[in-house]
Amino acid sequence: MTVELRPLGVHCNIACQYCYQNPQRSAGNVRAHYDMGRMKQALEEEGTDFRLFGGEPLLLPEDALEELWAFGLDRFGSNGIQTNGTLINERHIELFRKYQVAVGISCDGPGELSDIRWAGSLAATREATARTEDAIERLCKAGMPPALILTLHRSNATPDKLPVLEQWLHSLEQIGVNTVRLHILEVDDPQVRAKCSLTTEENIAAFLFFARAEEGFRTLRFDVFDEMRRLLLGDDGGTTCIWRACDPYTTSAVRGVEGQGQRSNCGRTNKDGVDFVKAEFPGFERYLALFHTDREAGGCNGCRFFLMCKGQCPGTSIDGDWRNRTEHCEVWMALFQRFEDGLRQAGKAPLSTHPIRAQLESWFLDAWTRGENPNMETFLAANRAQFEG
Amino acid sequence: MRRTEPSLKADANRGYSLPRLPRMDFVLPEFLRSMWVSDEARLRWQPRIESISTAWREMEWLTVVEGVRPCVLCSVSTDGWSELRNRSKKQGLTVVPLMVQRSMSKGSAAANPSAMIMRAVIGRRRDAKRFARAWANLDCAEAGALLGYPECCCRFFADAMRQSADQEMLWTVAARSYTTGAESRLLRVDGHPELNIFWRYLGVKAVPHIPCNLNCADSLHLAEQFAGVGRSAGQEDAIAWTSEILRWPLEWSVLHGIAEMKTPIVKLCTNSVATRSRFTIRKSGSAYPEDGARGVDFPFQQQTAVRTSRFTDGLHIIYGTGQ
Repeated sequence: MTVELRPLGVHCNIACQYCYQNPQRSAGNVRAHYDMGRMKQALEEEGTDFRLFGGEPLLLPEDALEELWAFGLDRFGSNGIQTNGTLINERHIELFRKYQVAVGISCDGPGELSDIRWAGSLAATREATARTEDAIERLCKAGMPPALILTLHRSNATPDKLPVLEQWLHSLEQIGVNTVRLHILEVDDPQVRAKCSLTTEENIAAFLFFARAEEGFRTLRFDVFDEMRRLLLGDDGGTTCIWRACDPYTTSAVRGVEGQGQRSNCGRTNKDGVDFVKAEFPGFERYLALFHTDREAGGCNGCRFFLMCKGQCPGTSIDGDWRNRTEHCEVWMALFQRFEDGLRQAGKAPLSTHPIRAQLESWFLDAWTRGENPNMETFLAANRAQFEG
Repeated sequence: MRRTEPSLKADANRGYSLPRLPRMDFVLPEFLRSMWVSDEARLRWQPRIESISTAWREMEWLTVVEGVRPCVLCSVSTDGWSELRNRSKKQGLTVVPLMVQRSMSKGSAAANPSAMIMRAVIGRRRDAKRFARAWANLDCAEAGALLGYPECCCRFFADAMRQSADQEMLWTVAARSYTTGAESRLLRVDGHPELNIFWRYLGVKAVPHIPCNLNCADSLHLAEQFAGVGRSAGQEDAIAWTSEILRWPLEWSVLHGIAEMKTPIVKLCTNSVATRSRFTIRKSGSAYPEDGARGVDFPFQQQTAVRTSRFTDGLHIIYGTGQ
């Protein structure tokens, strides 16, 4: 579970064309006011470490950042931030070090590969990207290499761009970056879909490209691939929320705290542009329904990867309707198939083709009906002998 | 989770066929969950909705005491049974139990699996006994008449039960009340605010029954009678809030057995018919709450010209103006 503190809501200094927070901006729900006391009180109530989030959290004044991080270190022993990296200065780097702030940077590649992270004009965009690249280097030199979130789209992941991106990642590995999260573009806007989004085939090609390229990296890992391999072996402890049957009414993996201390959900599921307050209790109806709904109708019935994927993130659902499975199903399925083959070749028995799968599915359905969301590893630990043959 | 038999065909002997949603053969367990658009909206409207719900139960009972109708059908917790019986007895009314069922008061079957409630009818002894017989015989017309429901609505309900007992009544009613779009998966309806039946999920309603359509004159008359009884009993606030809420726009949709209703202040999901495709009803409104949310689409109020070209200029520059 991650607590995301959003003091300035979705307020941002750039305008990434694909940002999943754009519905809130389009609705005019951009708040740029915060109340330090209320935020701290809410964080105390959450009782765990938090990550500063936005919009762009480095739009906060430095003294406010210091106050929050001093509070975070004192109460929870660590801090985090997710930033576009364009505003990072030396003072920020000092604060990151002083208050043990783990830095995540969202960046889609060098130069023109990040043009989609629009900053008002092409010149300003390229300048902003250069600042982000520079910030990554400075953080690495300072011994605080950031984790990267890299979203794949037409600007950076068409066949001609993929080698450039790979080369850039090798250069980042050399200076210390070792964790990269690959994202498929989440599309909320038809113009963005038409212009920026890769086709399903292109997405598959891009992800398979990195799955193959992974072997050429010494330390850098694409964590989504690691997760998928582990999921196929029933090892789902600690996997990210996209594989964990997220309830869009409570998004348990992401607890948002807004500038006035109010609680909110993960913005990925917010298609109405309204920052809803979390529901009182979770439910897993989406997953019960997907299990029984056939593929043509937007469900997952009969899919051997259902337990690993569970229809994936509701924020990426077909037609923007969380009751459907992800619109990126084919991409994830192609990857699961590849890793399934790899595991078999390595003499392992992936859960997707294991005889125990049907039992495990029934166990999940029962748990979801009771309003619980268990781990596969709990079931498999109790049935180890059967699972391992 | 239970599976169902394929739904029955419409009864060809009836005067008309009711609209049907094509459905899949599974049923989700019962649930009802909601999300408020803001803490402010929740703090203001949640207590009001709870007050409305309490006031409505009282008004339902009072309409029998006042002779507006012979009987009322009620649900009562096992704890409240004795009090209801004693209170009714003082007014010369008899309480006849009909069935015991699981409570949905916490919204999820998982939240409170053991809580039980009693369904009962209250009325003069003779009327209550007649109702119990009609209930046992599934005699919708007799039961509806004893509950004071308009004859047209009783007939509609009986037809609906005969033709489409496994269907979603909200769709059935809306499809008979549409302004546009009946042929498609999107119905746009308006109708009398008092006959807005979508808020029943949260206990907000102005009539006790499912009207045969959202413009039913007899149902509107019944709503006025109920409001009159409520006002005489000092429930002016609850009636005013109800009237306000029922005037707001809302969108209801169903897909894969999950219905979702979006309103300006709260969004909720609940179990419904398992359809393969999404079916949507948009009910227009004549009012919008001060603390209602702004959003990007119906039913939320939209700010015009907020989405500046800042978001799209870049697309054209990076990728050109063509598709």
